[in-house]
Amino acid sequence: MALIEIRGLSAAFGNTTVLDQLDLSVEAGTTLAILGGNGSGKTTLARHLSGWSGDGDAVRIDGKPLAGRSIAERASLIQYVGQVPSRHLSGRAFSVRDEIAFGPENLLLPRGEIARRVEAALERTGLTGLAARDPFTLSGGEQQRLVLAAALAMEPEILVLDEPVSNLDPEARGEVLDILAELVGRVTLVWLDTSPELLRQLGGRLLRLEEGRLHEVDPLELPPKTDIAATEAKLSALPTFRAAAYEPVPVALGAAASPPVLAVERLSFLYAGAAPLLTDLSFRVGAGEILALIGPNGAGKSTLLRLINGLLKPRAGRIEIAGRDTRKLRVDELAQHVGTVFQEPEYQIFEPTVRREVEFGPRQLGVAKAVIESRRDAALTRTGLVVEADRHPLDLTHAQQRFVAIASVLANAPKLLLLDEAQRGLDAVHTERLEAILAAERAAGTATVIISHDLDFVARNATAILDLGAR
Amino acid sequence: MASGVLYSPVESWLHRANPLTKLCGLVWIVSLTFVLPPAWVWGLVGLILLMALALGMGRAVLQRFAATALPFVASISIVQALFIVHPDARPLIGPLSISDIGLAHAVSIGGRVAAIIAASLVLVTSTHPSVLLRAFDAAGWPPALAFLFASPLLMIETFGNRAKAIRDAQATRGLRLKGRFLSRVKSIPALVAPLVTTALIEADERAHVLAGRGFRAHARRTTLEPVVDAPFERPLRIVLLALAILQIAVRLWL
Repeated sequence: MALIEIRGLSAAFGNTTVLDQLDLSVEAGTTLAILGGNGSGKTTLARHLSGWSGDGDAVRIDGKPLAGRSIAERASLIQYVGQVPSRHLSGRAFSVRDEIAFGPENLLLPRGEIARRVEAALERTGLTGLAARDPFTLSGGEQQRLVLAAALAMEPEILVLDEPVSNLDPEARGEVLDILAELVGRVTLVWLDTSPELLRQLGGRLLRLEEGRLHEVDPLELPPKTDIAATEAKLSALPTFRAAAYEPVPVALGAAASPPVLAVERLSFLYAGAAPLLTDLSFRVGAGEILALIGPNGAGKSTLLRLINGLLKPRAGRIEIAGRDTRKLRVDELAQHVGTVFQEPEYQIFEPTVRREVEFGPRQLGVAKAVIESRRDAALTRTGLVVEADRHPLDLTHAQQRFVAIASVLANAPKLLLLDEAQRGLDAVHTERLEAILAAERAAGTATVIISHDLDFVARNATAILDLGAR
Repeated sequence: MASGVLYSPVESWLHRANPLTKLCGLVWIVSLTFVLPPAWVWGLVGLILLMALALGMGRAVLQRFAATALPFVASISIVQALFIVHPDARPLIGPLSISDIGLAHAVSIGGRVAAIIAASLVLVTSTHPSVLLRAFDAAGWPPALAFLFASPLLMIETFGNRAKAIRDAQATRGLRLKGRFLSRVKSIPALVAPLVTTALIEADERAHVLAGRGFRAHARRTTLEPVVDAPFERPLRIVLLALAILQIAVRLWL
């Protein structure tokens, strides 16, 4: 008998059908990879399978409907790991150890058993050294390992993984993938993701979620593996400059750009009480250039972006945008020249419709109504949001929300565009759309600075690289 | 440590005591302030602060006491003595008058509040919230009660960081956050709405996370590291609660 049996599962958001009489049967110990684009219904399926959504009648685990099982039974059978680890912390534990113990404690297990499970989970996820830390002070990668540890401490039969590494940097991603690889064959894994590359790494049965139903996929149908050699060749062909945090670097990057859109001159910055983060950094970005900032976490990439858009002020040196010194302008004044797309679109969304959300920026800048409408319509078209214009932005998929943020920035018609990991979590279709926007902005003479850990994305789109990780 | 946590890690008998015993002590002190004469209540405040000093947490307690209790005592004194018209009011300066009855009220109310604040500060400074949660669990208190207590302490820093991220995101879209009063008022929806919506989304998700980890699967939960109860603590808690009830009864009926 199959461990998981789903029959005729349907789900809809408003008039949009997401799951359509979906059937699925999974044997115990299987690794099941479900491939689906942004908005294909992966999260909806994962939530139904985990008992987070629906009435649980369509899902049977070990022959018994999920709906008929108690909270304790469900918790011991299935654990769900999502995309944003901070949202999957209990909010009740003051240490990593307490967070892992939280579930087994709820099940009233004997203390010896709880201690055994906690120690095993700490060791398996490499968190032993962080056992006393406050979970909310951990990095994203550490938090995701903690969420996994807390799930493993429940000793579930099924682990549902909903894009578990999509928000992590490559190093953290590798650590989580190593943990999951060890679980193959021991736990029934159901992994839903947009990336065939990731799903291929764990192996197992491969399905595609399309138009609300699951279809078997022949591994040969998948796009070929990323050609690492080709990516490296492209990267090495790009002008690359390396900046060290502790010593001045004569960076000649963009020296030919005249006049530059962005000019950074002898910039130094440090946070109070911390070591210098950026020292004597100089570079220029001209019209139509795309500069990629790369480097490990903590190298100062996001800090540099916040210095450019005026949220932080230089300790020494200066930054000019279209000839204007950022120290002399407020952030909202700089918004006329600089557009920033942050990683979390939900932090800016507040209007009741996509249309009004996109208009918000130009309205703040005092742009004439006819121009606002023209820019809004163009931005909606370029981001593929025309049909969604009257919907509430928070009703859209996460990928569409990212494009709402991009459209909002494009509507301000900035001379300089700043994108912080804008490609993260996007499927192939949405990545292509983003790349088309970047190409069009480049052609229109907009200068762009991107932060990305995805070197394929950098190789395809950047015209130059500034590596802040040379220490 | 979460920024909402006021715990001061010092080695003392009070730090080692069961948090439930300390809670009973707090209840007893609160009820005591209603039966003692005002001057004695201020003496009690002094004793509590001296005890905090003797146990090595004087600085943490005194700083917080000065920041919270003193402004309250000052304002209640001004209101009672100068602004509320009592029968013995005598002119002071201009429209202001001063009253001995008002001053006596201020000393009485201020003393009670100061004692309650001082005792509460000693409790939170000597008790790590995680130990208090374990004590609740070991005593079989409802899991939801402990969650309501712990969650704000842990979330306050995250919430503050998010509020800042929202301010930054909206400012970079051209929203003016400084300047005239009207423009500040107009900026409020753009700042508050994302904070509320993200909090609601997270609350919904966290409810599922809790259920998924078996929260409230049973009426009580166990704890990996139970708080040690010294032999005298359980009878002491009973005595403290009995005294508190007696003091409340004295206050109400005598």
